[in-house]
Amino acid sequence: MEFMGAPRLLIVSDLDHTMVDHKDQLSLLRFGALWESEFNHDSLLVYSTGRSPTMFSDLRREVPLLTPGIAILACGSEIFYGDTMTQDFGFIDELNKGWNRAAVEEVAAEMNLKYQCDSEQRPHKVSFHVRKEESAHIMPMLREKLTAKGLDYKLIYSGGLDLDVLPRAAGKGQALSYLLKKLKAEGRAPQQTLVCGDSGNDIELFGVDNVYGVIVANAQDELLQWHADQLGDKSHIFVATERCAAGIIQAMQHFNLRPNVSPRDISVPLSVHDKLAPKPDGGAVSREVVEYLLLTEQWLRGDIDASEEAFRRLKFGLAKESNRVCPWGVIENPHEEIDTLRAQHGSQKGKLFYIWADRVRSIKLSDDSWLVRFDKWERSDAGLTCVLTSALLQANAEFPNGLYWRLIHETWLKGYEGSAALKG
Amino acid sequence: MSVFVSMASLQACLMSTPLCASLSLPRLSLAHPVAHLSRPTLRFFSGDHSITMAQSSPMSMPAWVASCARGRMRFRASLKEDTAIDVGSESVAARASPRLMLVSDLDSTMVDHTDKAHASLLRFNNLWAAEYAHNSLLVFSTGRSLEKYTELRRQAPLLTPALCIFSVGTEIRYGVTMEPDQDWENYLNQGWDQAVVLEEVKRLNLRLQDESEIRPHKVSCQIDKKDATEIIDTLSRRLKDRGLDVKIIFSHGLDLDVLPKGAGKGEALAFLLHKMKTEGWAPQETLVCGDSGNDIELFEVDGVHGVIVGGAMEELKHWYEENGKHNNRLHQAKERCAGGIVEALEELSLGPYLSPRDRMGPNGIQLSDTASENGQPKGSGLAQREVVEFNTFFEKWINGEVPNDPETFQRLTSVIAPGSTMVYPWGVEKNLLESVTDAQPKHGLTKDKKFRTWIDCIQEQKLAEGVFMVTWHAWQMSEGAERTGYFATAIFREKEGTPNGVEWLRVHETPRKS
Repeated sequence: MEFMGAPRLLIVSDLDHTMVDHKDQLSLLRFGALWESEFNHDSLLVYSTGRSPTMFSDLRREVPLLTPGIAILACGSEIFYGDTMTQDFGFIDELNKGWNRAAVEEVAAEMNLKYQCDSEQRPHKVSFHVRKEESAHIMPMLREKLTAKGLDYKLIYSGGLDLDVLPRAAGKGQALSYLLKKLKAEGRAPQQTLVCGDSGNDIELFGVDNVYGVIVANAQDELLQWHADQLGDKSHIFVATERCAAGIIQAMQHFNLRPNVSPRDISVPLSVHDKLAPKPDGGAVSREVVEYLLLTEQWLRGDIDASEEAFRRLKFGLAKESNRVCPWGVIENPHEEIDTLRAQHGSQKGKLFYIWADRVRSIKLSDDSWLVRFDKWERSDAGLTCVLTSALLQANAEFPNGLYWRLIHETWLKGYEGSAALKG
Repeated sequence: MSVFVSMASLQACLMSTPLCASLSLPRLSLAHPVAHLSRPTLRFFSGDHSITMAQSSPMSMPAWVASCARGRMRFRASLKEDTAIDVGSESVAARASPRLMLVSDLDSTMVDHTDKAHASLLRFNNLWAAEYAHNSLLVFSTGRSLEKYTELRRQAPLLTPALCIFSVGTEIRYGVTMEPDQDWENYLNQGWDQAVVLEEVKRLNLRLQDESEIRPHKVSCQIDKKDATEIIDTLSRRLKDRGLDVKIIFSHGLDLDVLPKGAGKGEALAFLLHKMKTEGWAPQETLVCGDSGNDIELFEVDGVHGVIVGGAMEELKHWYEENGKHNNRLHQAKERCAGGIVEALEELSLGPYLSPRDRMGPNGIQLSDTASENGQPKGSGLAQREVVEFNTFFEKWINGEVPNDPETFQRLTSVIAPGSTMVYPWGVEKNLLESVTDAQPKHGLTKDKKFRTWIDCIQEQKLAEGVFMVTWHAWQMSEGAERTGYFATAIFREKEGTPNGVEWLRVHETPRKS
C-alpha cells in the first residue's frame, strides 16, 4: 500500500530546526495533518538530516514526526527506503570511490581533532567538533592533509561547531541528485519538488536543479548569508517568516503547492448541512482518518465546545453496528462505547496531549467501501503510545467526507504499548 | 420400569398443527435475521416481544408456550467481550434457517477426557469452522453447570456455541454473554420447589454433589448403582406427596438428578425448536449427540437425527437396543467422542464430513473440492474455508507433517496478493508474502511440541462484488505452554486459479485479553 508512483509533490526537508522545532510541537503536527490527509497517497516525503540512524530513531520518539518515504541520513551518506528502511547499496558503491576512512582517522590523530560521540560516526562520515575561533586555521590544514592522502573528500562545517568529513560523492545535495536521477529512471520523477533547510549543510539542497526551496525563519546566519550572496534569479527560494514546519507550510502557500491549509488550522467539518457528500475517493478516506482523530483530540483537550453537533459527528461517524477490536484484547461496539467520551470533554485541557495519524494508506475495495491502514499515535502525560490500525470505511453521504466507520481493528505497536484507555 | 418421563405429551403438542395454528403467534422481527446464524452472540430479537395466545384450547398446549405469553421474551445480545464482528452487510448465511443444528453433550461426547491432546475434538473444530460455521448452529447440552462448563472450557479446546443448555436442560443461555431464557425459567418454576426437594433428599440421606451442581432447578446427588431403582421409586413418591411434579434422571452409573417435570435436555431442545419454528428459522436438520442416560431425551425429540458415540454408557446403549435400533435416523458410532459425531455426519448424510485436516493429502494438497459438492454459490463461504485451510496447512508445515519442498509450500504463497500486509499480534506490520516466505525454513520446527491451532467464531461477510471479509478467533496451544488466542480480521479478493477462488489482501491480529 506504500505509494510507489510518480510523486505529485516531493518534499525534501532537514529535520532539526527545519521540520522539527524543539521548542514547540504544534507546527510539526500541523504539517503532519496536512501531509497525511492530502499528500501521503500520491506524494513523497524525504528527510535529509545529519543525524545517524540511531539518532534519527531517537528523534522519532521525542517529537510527532511522520514516517518518511525516504530517509537520507548522516549528512547525505546513507539512503534508506520505505517502512523497512532498506539501505541503498548502489549509493554506497559510489561513495566508496576515493574514500578511505582509516586515512581520515590518521589525519585526525595527527591533528588531534576532537571526535563527536560514537553514534555520529558512520562508515562514510567522520564527525568532529571544531570551535568557531579555531576553524580558520584548522580547515585549511585539514584540507591539505586529506588531499595529500589522495582522498576524494568533502568538508561540511555547520552550526559553528560541527565538522563532517564525507566522501565527495556524499552530501545532502549529492544524495538528492542521486535520488532524483533514480526516481526519473524508474519513471517516478516528481511533478514538483520543495527543499527545506536551516543551516550550512542544507546549502547543497538549494543548488539542485528545478526545485523550490524554503529557508525557515529561524535559519542559521550561514544559510541566510549564502542566500543574500546569491546573484541572479532566486525567486525559487522563499525565506519564510515562520519557524520550522510552519515555514514549510508557508512556502507551500507561497509557491501555490496545493492543498496547503492544514486540517489543524480550520474547523473540522461537522456536518454536510443541506447537501449530501459526494462519493468518496482515496483523498476523502485520508481526510476522514485525520479529521476524526483530530476531532477526538480537540474534544478531549476542550479545544472545541462540547456541542451536540461535534459529539454526534464523533458518535454517528461510527456505524451503529460497527465493531472495534481494541488493542487490549476485547471487542466492543465503538458507537455505544463512545458515550463515555462525552464526559471526558476537556479532560486533557492544559496538559500535554496530542493524537496524530501516520502512514495513512487506503485500498479501494469497491465504490462504497475502503480499507485503510494507519498508525494512531498518542502523546500524553502517560507517555507515547501507538496503535497499528486497520479500518473499514463505507460510503455514507450524510457525513462530510462521505464516509463512516464500520470496523476498526487495533494492535499496539511493539514498544509503544499503552493500557486499556478510558477514552475512545 | 422406566424412570424417564415420556416425552409423549410434549411431542403431541408440538405435532398438533391445528393447535399451533390456533395460536396467533406474531412473527418476531429480527434485527438482522440473515446475518446472525453462525455467530456466538445471536441477536434473536430486536426488542421486546410477547406472544399473544388465542382463547381456544389452552389445556393441551405445552405449558411453556403459555408462560411465554405471560412473560416477555427479550434477547438483547450485548456486544461486550468476544462478540463476533458484524459490518451489517450481506452475510454468507443468506438463508432463513440453519442447514444443521448440532446439539451435543460435552463430557465423553464432544470432549474425550482420555485424550489430553484432544485430537478428535480438534478435528471436529476444523470441520465445523470450514464447512458448517457459516450456515449451521452449534449447541452444547450438558449436565454441567455454568461454572463447571467454564472450567471445562479452560481444559479442552471447545468452540463457542450459539447457545448452551446447562444443568441437564434446566438452563438455556444464549451467546457468549450467557443471557438466560426467562420463559424457560418461568416454565420450570411450575410444580417445583427446590427447598422441598433438598429436604426429601436429605431425609433419604443421599449425598449431594458439589455446590455448583445444585442449581435453582436442579438438585443432584450421587448414589450407588445397586440402590438406584429403590431410591428413585421412593423419592418420586415422596415428592409427589408433597405436591411437586418432578423428573428423576439416573446417569453415568452414579449421578441422580432431580428436575422439574418439564425440564430435561429433550424438553429444552423441543422448546428451542418450537421457538425457532415459530420465528421461521427452524433448522433443516438437527443432529443430537450423546453418550449417557441424560441424553436419551435428546434422541426422543421428534424429527431429530442422533448419534450415540463410541464408548457410550451402558444405559444409553441399552436404550438404543430397546428403542432406537430400527430408527434409521439414529447411528451408533464406532469412533469415540467427537470422532463419532463426524462419523454420524457421514453415515447420516448430514453434510460434509471431511475436514481440511482430513482432506489434506500427504503432499498438502486438498483432496476434494467440496465447494462444488455442497452446491454453494461461488464466493459463498469460500473465503472462510480458505482461512481454515490456510491455517491447517500452516500448522502442518510447522509440525513437519507435509513434505518440505517448495512446490508444497506454494499452497501458502500462491494465495497472497502482491503488496498485501499483515499486522501481527506482537505489534509489527509486515509484507504478508515476505513473512509467509520467511516461514518456509521453519518446517518441522514444532514437531515435538504438539503445536495445535483451531479457529472459533469464524464468519464471512461480503463487502462488495468479489471482496470478502472474514473475522475469527484464532487459538494456539502447544505442550507445556499456555494457550494463546487472537482476534483476527482478513480481507479477500476473488482470484482465479487459487484453491478457494480467493487471495489474501490484508490480515490484522490482536491478542485477546486473557
